[in-house]
Amino acid sequence: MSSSERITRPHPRRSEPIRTFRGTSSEPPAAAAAERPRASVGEAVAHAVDLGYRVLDEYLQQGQRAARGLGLGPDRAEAAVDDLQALATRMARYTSDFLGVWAQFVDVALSTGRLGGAKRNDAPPGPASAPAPTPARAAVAVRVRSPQAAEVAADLAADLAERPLTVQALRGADPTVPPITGVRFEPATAAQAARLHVVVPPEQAPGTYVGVVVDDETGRFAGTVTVTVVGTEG
Amino acid sequence: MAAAFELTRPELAGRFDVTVYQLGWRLGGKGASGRGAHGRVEEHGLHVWMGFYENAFRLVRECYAELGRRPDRCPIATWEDAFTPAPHIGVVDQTPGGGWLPWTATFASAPGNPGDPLPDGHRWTMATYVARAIGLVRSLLAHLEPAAGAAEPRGDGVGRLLRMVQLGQLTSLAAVVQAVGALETVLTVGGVAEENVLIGLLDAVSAAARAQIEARAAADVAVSRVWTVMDITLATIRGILRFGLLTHPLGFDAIDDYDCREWLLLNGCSARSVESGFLRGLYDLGLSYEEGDPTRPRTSAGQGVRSVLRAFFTYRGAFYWRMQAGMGDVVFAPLYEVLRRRGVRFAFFHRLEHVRVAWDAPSRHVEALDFDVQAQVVGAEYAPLIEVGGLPCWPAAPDFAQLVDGERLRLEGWDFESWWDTRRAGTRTLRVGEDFDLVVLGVGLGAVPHVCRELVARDARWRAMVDRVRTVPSQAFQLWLREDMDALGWSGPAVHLSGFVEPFDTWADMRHLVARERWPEPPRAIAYFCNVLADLEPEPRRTDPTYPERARAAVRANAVRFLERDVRHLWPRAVDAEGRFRWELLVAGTGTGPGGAARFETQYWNAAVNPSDRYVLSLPGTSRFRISPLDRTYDNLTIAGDWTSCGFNAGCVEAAVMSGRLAAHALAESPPLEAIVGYDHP
Repeated sequence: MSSSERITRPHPRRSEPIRTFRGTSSEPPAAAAAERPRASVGEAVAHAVDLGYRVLDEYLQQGQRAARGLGLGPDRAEAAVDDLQALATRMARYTSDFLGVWAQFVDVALSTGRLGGAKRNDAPPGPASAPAPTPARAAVAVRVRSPQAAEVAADLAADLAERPLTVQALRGADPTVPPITGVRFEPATAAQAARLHVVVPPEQAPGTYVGVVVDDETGRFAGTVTVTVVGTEG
Repeated sequence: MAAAFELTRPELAGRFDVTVYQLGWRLGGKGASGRGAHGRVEEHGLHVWMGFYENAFRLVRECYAELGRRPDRCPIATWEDAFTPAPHIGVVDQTPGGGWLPWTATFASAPGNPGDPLPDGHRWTMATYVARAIGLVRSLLAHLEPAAGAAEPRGDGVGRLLRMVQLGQLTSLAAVVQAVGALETVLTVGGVAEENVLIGLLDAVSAAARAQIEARAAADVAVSRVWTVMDITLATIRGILRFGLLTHPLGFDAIDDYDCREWLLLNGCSARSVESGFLRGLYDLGLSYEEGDPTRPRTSAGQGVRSVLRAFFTYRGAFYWRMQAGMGDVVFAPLYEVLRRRGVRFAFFHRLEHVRVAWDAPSRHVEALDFDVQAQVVGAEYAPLIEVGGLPCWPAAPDFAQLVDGERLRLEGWDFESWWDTRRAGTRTLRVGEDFDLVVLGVGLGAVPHVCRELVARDARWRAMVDRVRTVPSQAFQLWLREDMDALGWSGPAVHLSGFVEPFDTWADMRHLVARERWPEPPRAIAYFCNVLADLEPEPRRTDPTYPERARAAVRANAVRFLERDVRHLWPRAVDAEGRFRWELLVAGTGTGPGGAARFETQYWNAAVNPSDRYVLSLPGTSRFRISPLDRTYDNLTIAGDWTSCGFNAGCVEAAVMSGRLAAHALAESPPLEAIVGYDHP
């Protein structure tokens, strides 16, 4: 019986979970990207920090619940509060250390120009209520040449689609397995969307390979490309 | 079952005509339970659910809602009747003198219940977990009493300093981590210096905390335990930063090649913390011992850290939820009833023997399924459930009266759940296009090399999966006791405790089940013990019918030795003045029962050695060898089980339900992947 006569499974949209640091949403990623406004780097940083402050209470409560769960009942907690000054003194010293490191962090980022349009007043502001926007993703046409079944996922910021980008070698979890090097990015033009060309060698071992995309001119991080080689009959 | 539930949802308007082919007489696989003499619940291991099992709870809640049991007619009518919060957990530390010291804790309830809808826009990010972990460290620090003599008179600045502690350095770090998450998208690839700055900060804090606390920890058990948790948490945070996990496209899978303990040590955790009861207890919960050897703890750092963060920081309601009857009664009987109402057919006593594949490219597919029919059913359909105290339950043995020639089968001792008992009443072959269109393969991984031998022989990915993703047997026993836990010397609340001595490192106080059973003289306590079990032989032959009984004998010997030698550390008054276990504590049912260790025969014990019952491990470096239910190499086949690549690659009911929902998505594109909670997750 041929597949045309049989009922077969639909082709899945994807076969791997999304594990990127941007996290996940209950809404489809494409919809999420379409609905969210683009944000400048500075705004993204500012909002991320805002969000950090906004959710602190929630984290605090969760942490306190966990602490109580570890056997520190209210009696001990009260006793600790009564005697907190010494602890607070120590914590003040840590705070001072921390602020110094944070300032160093921002300085390094700014002095190397890696924050783009961000200004120094993009440092942590006070609490705010707006959630952090997610930058829009680029539309990329993917062309794959592979004798094996393979899935390709590209995660590129929309504002970089017209930039000259280089995709670094895609490496698997096993360092002894050769990386996939035949990945090339073709910037978007007025006539066509950006294109990603992927060539998977016939002998490539099944697995997931990940590589970073870099803006050739600025050296900025531009996104990631993930190729999952599904493999063939053994 | 989860796949069947999804595929027969009313919203799909009858698109799928589902038949479940089931070995033996009951549903549930590793989660099955049965009612034995006096209605006692007999199951294998601790069937507690964790408070982050969002998919499993959603399934059960929807099932009970659809079931619509009447509370005045059934003692377990709603999901709230079926599951109750179990916030008390424990681990056990070994003392320098060789004793064992339990550490119990009560986890406060968290908002909501597992299975509640998640807020719009809900997302899990690595940065969120880091922030929560930092919040935990900060909170633990704030709760520690300062060292004796360190306190100074309170001054005007106390309030300000207090606030600094509460919303100060470490908490601010949580905000910074959020910011770093965004910054990583715009920094250059080589911009590791910034991350190093953060790591430097973390190291400074860790060193300061270590200096402040470790000296006190040596003399104070409570402080020592808190420091253990902080030490492990700080190492985890450091590891997330150091390994670039904040931005890694693979999330925690990026550290899948490391053993969890090894990874913590790499990130500055002390050897003492790694050997602690706290961490050992986490390994015990996942039966994470290679080849069942308690001296070889190994589990993937990626899945291990993901599991711990989900468990501690995303639970809702309670940390644990305890079932109010056997898992078969509470979960699989309601599912069976709902699915029957929806028109699902159940073919019991069907043992899958061979999945036959048509290899002609480009349309590889399952062309036939060969079954042994273990017994013919009298009448049209086997009725599998019995009532115990008004509750539909699965019996611990089949109802032979419903089987053709059943009395003979009973007298001859046919064991329908034993892989070694190959007796059958007939055979049956299902053919594609005639008897089925699509297949959901739901056997345990241990059975795959046998029933999918052709697939494993010809498909390198399937071969790699069964070679690399390993399974182990497990062992369990249950005691019904004449004295309550107070009388036995355990004065705390009913607890789930792990990290104890081998061969049974995990204990659950199941006293709440007494009310569900039907004893003439009810026991005063019920206790479950379980652990991993080493294979008696590397590859037991199917032609050796003595193997399962030999494995059971090994478990029995382990249990008797444990009661005679070890249980006193938990129940000091379960032994007499000479330190011997008081065997008369065991409830023998009717009559006086045998004395001494022979009395153990009246209790329940089991060796889960059947291939399909073996527990799947999450060994380092194996996650990538799992195959997803979404994989479409065979165009009419999908797979379901906690052994698949389902987003949460651990042996548990949550993974099984996620996998079942993915299998349904593979066939029906429903539910949406975004509705499978935690599938998209770092």
